[in-house]
Amino acid sequence: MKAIVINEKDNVATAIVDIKKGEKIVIKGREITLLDDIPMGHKFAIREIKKGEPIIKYGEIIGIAKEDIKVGQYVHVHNIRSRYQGVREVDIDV
Amino acid sequence: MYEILGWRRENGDFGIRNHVIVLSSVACANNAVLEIARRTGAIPVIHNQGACGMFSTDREQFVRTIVNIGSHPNVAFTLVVGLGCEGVDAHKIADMISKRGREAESLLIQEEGLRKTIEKGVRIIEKAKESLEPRKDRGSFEDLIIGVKCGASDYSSGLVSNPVVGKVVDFMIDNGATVMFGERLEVVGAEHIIAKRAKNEEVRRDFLRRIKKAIDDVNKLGTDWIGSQPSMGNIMGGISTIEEKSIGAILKAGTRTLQGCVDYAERPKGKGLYFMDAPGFDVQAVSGLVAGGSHIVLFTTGRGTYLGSPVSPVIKITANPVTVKKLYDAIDVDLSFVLLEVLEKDADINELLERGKKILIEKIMKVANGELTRSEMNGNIEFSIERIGPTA
Repeated sequence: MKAIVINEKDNVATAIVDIKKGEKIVIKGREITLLDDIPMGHKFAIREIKKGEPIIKYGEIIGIAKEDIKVGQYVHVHNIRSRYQGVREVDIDV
Repeated sequence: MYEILGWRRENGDFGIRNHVIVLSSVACANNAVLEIARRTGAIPVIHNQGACGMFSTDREQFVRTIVNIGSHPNVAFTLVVGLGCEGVDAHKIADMISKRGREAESLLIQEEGLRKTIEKGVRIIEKAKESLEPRKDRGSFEDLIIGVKCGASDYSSGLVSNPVVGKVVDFMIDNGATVMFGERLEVVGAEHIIAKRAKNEEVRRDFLRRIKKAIDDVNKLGTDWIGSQPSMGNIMGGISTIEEKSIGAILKAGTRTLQGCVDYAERPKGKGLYFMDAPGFDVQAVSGLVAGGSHIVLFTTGRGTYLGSPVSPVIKITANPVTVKKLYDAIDVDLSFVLLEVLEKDADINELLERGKKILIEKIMKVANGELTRSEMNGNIEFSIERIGPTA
């Protein structure tokens, strides 16, 4: 397996080797075709994520989609943003 | 099963090492300290400071740090060496160490002269070594304080090393240990997750206040700290946001209740999980955790580091196969099998992390019972105290 899903709630997987566009990976019994090259340590979507929806890794929100993200698409600073604007005392539940 | 043999001190502290140290009370005395250590085999504890030109909370922090090192559970005897004109001299430091239940003596170069200080120091150390006891007292996890820290992190830290340490931290706490984590700015973006685990409202407020202050302190220097995160290096490594970076880092602190916060180098008063208000810089962070009483520090690394501490073993852990090869003489626990077995055998990551947990607990038991870590074999003595204010 070339990618890891850390928590069941996650909507992204992390590549543990470089993965090429067009490669197929089976995640939780479902085949995903990579729509982009994914460098080692970087992420791709394993579920459809609409603009404004949270990106979930480690079972926690790590950012917000700046645009619609398809399954198998590269997820990084170009299409997600931080929600962080100063010390947060509480957060919404995932 | 988890019995440890060590040294029970008169004040109840339990040591897993029985070090004789020569402690500098001011940087001006460092060379004499090093010479006494060279002639006797005692461990030198040197730093680039002293209660000289230092004020208020900065001075208190400095004194707290070196007194807590001199009276550390792993220390049997401390010789404090100073120059004589420093604000808090070696006699006063030794007195404070004695009051905290550890044998200590002191020498001032301005009182004794340089050569006499070294000769007297050698005699004091040799005498102290004669009365050392063997490892014979029984202890358990309840006697231990474990510090956790990550440094030179990479993709493997958040995926493997930090989750494994987090599991071990939960296990240690469930068995009565105290665990401390720090790195105040590494928490930013994940503070709500830790805050949710606070024992009560007071602890929650205290924790959040410290994180807010940490950001304000950096911003006062005219920078936008949050805006600078994650760094370019982080982004190249695949980290997209400050939240992702910090959540990956705090995994090493496990999932148990936050019992309280302590100042830099302060000893926690209870059992369970504590946050130390300490910086991320490896040497200052480990020095603070050790001065706060950590018997062992668990240090996860991605790209690798070889640091240690003068009084406590540092167990260095990596899951990066390249680092295991390059820094084989600095790494204690190799978790590189986790990603390799996921990649080559489609193995279940959670089972592999459990296996990693067992390996690390076994290592902790061995080290607690006397097995030397790489940092001890390599003779690492890094020690640096965080500063708060300007020097006069």
